[in-house]
Amino acid sequence: MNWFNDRLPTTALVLLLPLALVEPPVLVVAAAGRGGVFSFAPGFALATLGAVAAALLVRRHPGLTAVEISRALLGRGAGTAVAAGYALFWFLEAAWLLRHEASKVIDLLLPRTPVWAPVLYLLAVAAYLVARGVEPLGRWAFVVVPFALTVVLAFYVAGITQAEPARLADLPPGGPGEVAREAWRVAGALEGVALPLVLAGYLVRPGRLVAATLGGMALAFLGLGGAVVMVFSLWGVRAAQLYHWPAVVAVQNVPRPGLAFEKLELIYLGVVVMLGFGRFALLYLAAVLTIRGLLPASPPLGRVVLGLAPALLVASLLPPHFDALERMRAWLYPPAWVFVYALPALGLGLSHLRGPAGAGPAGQGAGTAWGDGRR
Amino acid sequence: MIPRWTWFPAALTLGLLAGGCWDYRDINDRSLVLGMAVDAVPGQDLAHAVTAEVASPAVTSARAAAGPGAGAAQGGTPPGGRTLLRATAATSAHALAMQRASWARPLEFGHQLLLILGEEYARRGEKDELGCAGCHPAMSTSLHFLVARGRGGDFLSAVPPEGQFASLYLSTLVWNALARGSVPPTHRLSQFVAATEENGVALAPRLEWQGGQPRMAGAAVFQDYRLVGWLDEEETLGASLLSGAGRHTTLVVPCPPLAVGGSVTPARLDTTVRITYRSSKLLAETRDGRLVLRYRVSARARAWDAGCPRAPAPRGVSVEEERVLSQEAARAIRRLALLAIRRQRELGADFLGWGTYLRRGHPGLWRDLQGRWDKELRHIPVEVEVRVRVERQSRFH
Repeated sequence: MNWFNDRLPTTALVLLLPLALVEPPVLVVAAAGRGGVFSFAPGFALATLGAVAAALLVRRHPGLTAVEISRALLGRGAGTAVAAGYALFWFLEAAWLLRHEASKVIDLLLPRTPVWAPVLYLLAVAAYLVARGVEPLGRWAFVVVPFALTVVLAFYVAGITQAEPARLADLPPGGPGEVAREAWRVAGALEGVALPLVLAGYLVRPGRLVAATLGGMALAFLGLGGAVVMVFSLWGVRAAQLYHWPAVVAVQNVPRPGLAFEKLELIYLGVVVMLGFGRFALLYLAAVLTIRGLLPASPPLGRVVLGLAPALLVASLLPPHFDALERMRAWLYPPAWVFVYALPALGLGLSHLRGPAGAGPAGQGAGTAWGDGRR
Repeated sequence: MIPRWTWFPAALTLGLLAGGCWDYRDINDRSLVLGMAVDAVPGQDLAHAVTAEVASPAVTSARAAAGPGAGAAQGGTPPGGRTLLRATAATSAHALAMQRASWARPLEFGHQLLLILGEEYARRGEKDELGCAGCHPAMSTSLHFLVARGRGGDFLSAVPPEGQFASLYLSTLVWNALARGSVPPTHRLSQFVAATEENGVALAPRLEWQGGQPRMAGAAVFQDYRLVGWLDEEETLGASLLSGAGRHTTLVVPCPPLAVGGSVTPARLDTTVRITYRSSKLLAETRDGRLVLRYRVSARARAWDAGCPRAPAPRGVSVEEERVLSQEAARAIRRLALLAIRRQRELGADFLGWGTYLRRGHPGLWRDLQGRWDKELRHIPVEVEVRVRVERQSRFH
């Protein structure tokens, strides 16, 4: 395994992509709507194409960061504007997810605790992790993701054995048009597939990027697909939309014969909070790296992390209640379609027209803006 | 950069935040709601009477210290460690708020075992309250959902034969009834809501008094979250067999005739047959322009022969005896299935899910029938074909 300071082995993507996608399944279940698995399957396929497009774009520009790729393709002015858009997008996604994960902790574990407490806690621990660069997060994923995926898959399999598979066959009343709209929303909920763009400058061997991306998407499909199949086959598409936390509630209903204690879902909950934290840390890292790439002097990572933390804290506490937070999610879908799918595809097309614009030799990972070991 | 020493107090502070100090509560301050019943109030259309059985460790230990019979002296409070809270209000939520206000310790619903609806309340059809009962994160959706003949609160108020809590006793009754297949498998609130959202019709376990004791058998039929009728134990078993839900059911069938020395003596005894596997397939076909539904039920079963007279050794269990037992078991299943189908026609409520089956598997047929389904449901011809293989497991001589 090629671990270096501030460098990631390309295979780390195999575990970072599931970390960015598996939690929280509530977004995908809500986005899939009445189409159920019929909407999820094409939505995930579209997300896989988006991930591959991002990986191909990065592979054509080895050693360049997302900001540098953007500037190389669009020119300095337009490229900087697009990169600033990416920074804002990652920031909003991170702020939304921070509040969402905190709300999950409040709703399901600590009902009397004020929401700012878990927000502050998650933010502080994530800031500590992100300020140390991408390598600790990669190592953390290597420890946590296999364990977490094993646990959640065990719960999903147990849940699916109790389900009625016929419920998966319910076609939405709106027909193919409705399926297409919902599939598009599912793709919008999977913004983590643009991760290869963010991690571009850290990868030791970008040559294996596409294979690693496909491997990561396959693992993510296991985790996310398991949750979606369990929820829809247990309850059908209509009842599944009644619950705030469908996967957690599904796990509550998994029978546990012979077990003396009843609160088995607490184990599941602990694991998904851990995965949710990992996803937030990745989005936070994405925002920090993009902002840092935009700043002229490329300041130490820790300063950008600390500078962004108060803004994240304020933004995540802005929604007055959970319903408002859910409504805000719908606002984030159109930017996701632009930044996660349209722009990487456009960039790939442009780079094919113009030829590769990489600054460093392929496979060396040299010439990155933040790969200099500074913090 | 931030000085290195600051990480230690920061870690301490974060540890406190992670634990959620606001949610710390001593065991003596906890009050766990184990069961809840909702009833209509006679003469008041909009009122709800909510009864909650509460386990409070502090009350339990105080009563245990005071000695036996101490609970009975506390103004009609049931003996033991349980407390019953009652309140009447316009909605269940208001009634719960009143209970919370009247009880010194906050009520916790995370360990609730069951929710009982009284018959009159269930007939009103409280769609919003029932449909969203599983939405509240504080209440587990895996709780048992029961419907009482009569008032639900009476079942929580009764002193169980053993143990301290009526909710625990009733919960055990549910599991026992599920094991013998005499209540529908949709016994959890989430399963009930899912079935209603999918079919519009769902079954819930029925709770009734028999000889002064609570008994769990049969089912309540809900249509759009409103109670429309009841199934007895046999009809419920028939519905479960047709739906293919659950696996283990015990049937009572006549013993095979006894063949000794060339003469055959008809058996006058019954024996039990335990179904270990079953499957049910529903098929639709059109005959002479008319829809016909056909069930194919197949099962494997084991006969435990303690109740049947046996041929003397060395003759073993004959193929003929197994064939007769299989035929009797198939006849018994068919009878139960037909009972369930007849009841569905009487009620006009599609608890066997025929409409959902046609919608999924035969959308063309469903489009034709959808508008007049309520009427068609009562007249569709249904054929039931049952195949059972019974294996005898033991012999007594």
